[in-house]
Amino acid sequence: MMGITTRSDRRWLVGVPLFFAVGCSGSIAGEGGSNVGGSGSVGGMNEKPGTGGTTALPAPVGARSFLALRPLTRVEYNNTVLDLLGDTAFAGDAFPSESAASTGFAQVQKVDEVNVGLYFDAAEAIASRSVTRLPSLFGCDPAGNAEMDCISRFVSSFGRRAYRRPITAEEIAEYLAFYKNELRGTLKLSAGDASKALVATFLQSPFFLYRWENAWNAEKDGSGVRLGAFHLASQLSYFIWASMPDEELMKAAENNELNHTTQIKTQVRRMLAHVKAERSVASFAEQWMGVSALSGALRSQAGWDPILARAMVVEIQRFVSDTLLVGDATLETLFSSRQSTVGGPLAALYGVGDKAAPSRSITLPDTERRGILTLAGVMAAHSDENESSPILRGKFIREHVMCDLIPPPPGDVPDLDPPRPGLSKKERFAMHRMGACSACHELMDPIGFGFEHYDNVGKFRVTDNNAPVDSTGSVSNLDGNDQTFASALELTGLLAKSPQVAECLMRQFFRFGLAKNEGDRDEDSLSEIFAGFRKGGFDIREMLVALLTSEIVTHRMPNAEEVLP
Amino acid sequence: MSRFRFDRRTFIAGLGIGGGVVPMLPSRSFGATPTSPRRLVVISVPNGYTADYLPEVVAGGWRARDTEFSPLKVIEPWKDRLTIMGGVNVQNGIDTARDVKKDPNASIGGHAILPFILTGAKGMAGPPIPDGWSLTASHPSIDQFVVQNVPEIKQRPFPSLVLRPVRMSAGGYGNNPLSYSGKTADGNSHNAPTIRDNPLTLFNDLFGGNLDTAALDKIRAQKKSILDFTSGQLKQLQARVGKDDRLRLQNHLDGVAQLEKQIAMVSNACRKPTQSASDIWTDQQTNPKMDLVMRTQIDMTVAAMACDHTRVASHLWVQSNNNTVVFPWLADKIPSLNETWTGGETAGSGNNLRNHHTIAHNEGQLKREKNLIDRFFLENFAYFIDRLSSTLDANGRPMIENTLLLYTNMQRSGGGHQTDNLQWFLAGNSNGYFKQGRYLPWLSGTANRTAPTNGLFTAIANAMGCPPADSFADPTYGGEATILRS
Repeated sequence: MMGITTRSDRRWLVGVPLFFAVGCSGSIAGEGGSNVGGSGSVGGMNEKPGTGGTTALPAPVGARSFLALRPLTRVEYNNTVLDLLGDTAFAGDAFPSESAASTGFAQVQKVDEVNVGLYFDAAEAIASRSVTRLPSLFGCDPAGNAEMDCISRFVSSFGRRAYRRPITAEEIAEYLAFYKNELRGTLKLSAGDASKALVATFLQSPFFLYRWENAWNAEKDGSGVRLGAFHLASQLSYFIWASMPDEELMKAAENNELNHTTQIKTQVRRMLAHVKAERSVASFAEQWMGVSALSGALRSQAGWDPILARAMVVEIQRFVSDTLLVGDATLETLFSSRQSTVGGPLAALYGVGDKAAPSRSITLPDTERRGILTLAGVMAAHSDENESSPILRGKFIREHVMCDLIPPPPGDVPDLDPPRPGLSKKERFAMHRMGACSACHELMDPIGFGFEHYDNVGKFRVTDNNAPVDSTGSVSNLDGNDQTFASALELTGLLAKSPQVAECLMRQFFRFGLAKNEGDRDEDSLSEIFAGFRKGGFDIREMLVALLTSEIVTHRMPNAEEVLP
Repeated sequence: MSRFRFDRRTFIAGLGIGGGVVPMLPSRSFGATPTSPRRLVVISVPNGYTADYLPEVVAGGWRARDTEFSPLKVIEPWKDRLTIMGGVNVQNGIDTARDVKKDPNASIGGHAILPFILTGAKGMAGPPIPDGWSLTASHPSIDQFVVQNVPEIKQRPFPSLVLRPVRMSAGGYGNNPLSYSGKTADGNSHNAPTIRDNPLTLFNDLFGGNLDTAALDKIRAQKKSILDFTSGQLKQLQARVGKDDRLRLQNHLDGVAQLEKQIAMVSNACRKPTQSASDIWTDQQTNPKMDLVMRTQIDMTVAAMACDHTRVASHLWVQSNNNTVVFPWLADKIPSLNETWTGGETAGSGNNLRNHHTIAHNEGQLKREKNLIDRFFLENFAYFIDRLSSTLDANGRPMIENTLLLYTNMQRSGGGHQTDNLQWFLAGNSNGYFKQGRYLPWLSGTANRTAPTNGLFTAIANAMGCPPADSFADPTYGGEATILRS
């Protein structure tokens, strides 16, 4: 039997065994170090930069976890440039692709010469476009008489927005000196070119590219520090909007109006109601559902192309943001709603319209689909090129939805046998998982079989290889119980009411929004937030409000050798 | 591909900023200091070769055979810069016949080998063609693999130049490309980068604008001023953050320093080449001035590399059977090359001059012609090496020291069509990765044992800065051919 961590594990108090199934074989200690499956220290991975996540960090209960200096992701860069300059070219798309960090969500792993070169190119391109409307951008004409006065005012106001904190007198002076040199030094640029260089310089500044808005102005609070107002404002805005704070939030930070929970709550509610919240939720939905790479995936079906794949991703993004930001935001709705918005090629796949139809609201067929997990894109993403994959689907549910971890397969796994007459898909998979593989596959395949009504592009079917689809399956250890189901519709019904799934979603938002894994030190706050989440009928929006106003967001531990006041 | 104009504004983007940096990964630091960007050229010629193509082993190395029109004579001057590799098998192509066609007796001859020659993986069903060999690549060719896996190469204004000196019509394996981007998406077409043929269009795309040296210097100085400013700010922030974050910022600072070096490094050799005469090009499948097109394509490749517009080029000389290609410019050496061929195979191409395919099939009778043609192609290879040797990078070193050229032939003998035990050439280098100046009769390192191409491609991928790998495309074909290493 697999090596499930015991329920007395502290982590299980709030329900999620992060390393639930390490090894799948019962040999926990043999896999990856003595701490794995131990006292709960593994959850602290990444919480302290540089520790490699394997050392248990002694800390008083209630203390906060660490926060690492983090560059903007591509999505954040694009949104920030859009809000800062109105530039819609999404220049950040040219940056190196970001791999999923240990959180499961995309992060810039390392800024090296490649990133630096691309930051440079993007800044040049954006600056070139923005200086075409110079007087309106600067609020004055840098080519006019009072040029240095004009530049000075621009640096001060633009700098505050670009740095997401007030810009200091010394910093202004440095920019002015830079501008003067561009204009009158050996380069002798025109006012337009010098202004362009100025904007490009802002866009390459570490104060723009990194999320560390006056973080040194943190206030000691117990064993940790309370974030400075501007740092907190950005934490909120990048979590909720995947972008920079707006003027109202900046003003709140300047006026010390982010000190009390009620004040922060007001801002959080305002921001969640703002249309910009869709950006962040869309990014979350895409990554949580594992569909980021769908557009480039190969599927052996006529009609499969990047346009259809893109329509699938957009449907998922809309589905989640409509549910969370506009609808009742409950877990139940997320996993059972049949209201969706689909574009042309996808409407045809669902059998509710033709390819040319514009994007519109639909009700998914009652007997076929219910909730986010049954959307075509989710099913297509967790498939093989040539057929649906109960393994990948089961793995996805287990890891992304239930927050259990399945170890990677050994390197010498043979390919699945091709279909052959007289052998059902279940029998074929059963043969594949014989022997040592079975412990892990028992965690995945029986869940995945529930989705057999969806083929490898997510299309509903009643037969597969000329045999009726068998979508019966089971899920072990869901909230501590083993359950069976007749189809995906029953399975999603179970998941929709599962505290484990609710808690997993809470943790996924934590990892996504804070770009780190939850540590032991966050568990007390998470327990409290989860209790409220449960009591409120798993209202996800309210859970986010609670998370964003908790000490998880407002506090952190100082980093080693960090200079604080 | 969008047209890249060399005006001042786009020049800023094209100057080599966008990741145009020599990676300095400690794990792969096989050169002492970064010198210049690493570049790759792949070349393929069809129709095999005669026994005169094999070198003669002599004390301390090899020499060209002493026959009339001895092909290797023309590359002999570049002995020290190249390695002759024998015993090369396009094993993935050979196995495709068995595994994909499900026919144990099938074999893929040299004319059908292009989807496999540079890809290292068994093929897959591809665009239908009349003779039944409807196959395509299932993996990127080595040149496109490098493009896809080295960000600073991919970010060049031209991630790669994929060239061919004659316009071909669609259809038939004779028109298969040399370079592939990966699997086909729909099974009805190859997944291949755009092939450029017309040298006049290529010139306009690459060098259509002005190259003004003074303007370039000013742009460099301005970029430097911005990067200096950024460095100052990075240091300010570095002073305020914790230990681990300081290291993160140090990576960024190192990146800025690399970029500054790169800006200074863009070669002074970045000069607009001479535009070729407009009458050398024809849109036909046969071009009596193809030799001039080949030359100008080589010149433009070298110039584009000197300007760091691109670091990867693929030259297909020409299609895989060449039954539309004739060689009138060689008629001064063998007048019959201008005559109509009356005996033997005519290869059904619509022209009955002595085309490459026909001559190859009759290599016994037409050995002089065959050798002369093979020498012609190798002359162009030698010209490529010569141009890269005489053009200096900004560091004052010849470009050839960081440009790798792989010269492949699609089959062994002209009539036999074998795709095993081939003789290929590897010239140039990549930051000193390869030990050049040798004749390796057996790439495998063992006499009478052939080796799949994969070991060679693994070495090239690793040398070019791809994420270090133990194998290429299909690990069952073995690991890196370390015999090539320094």
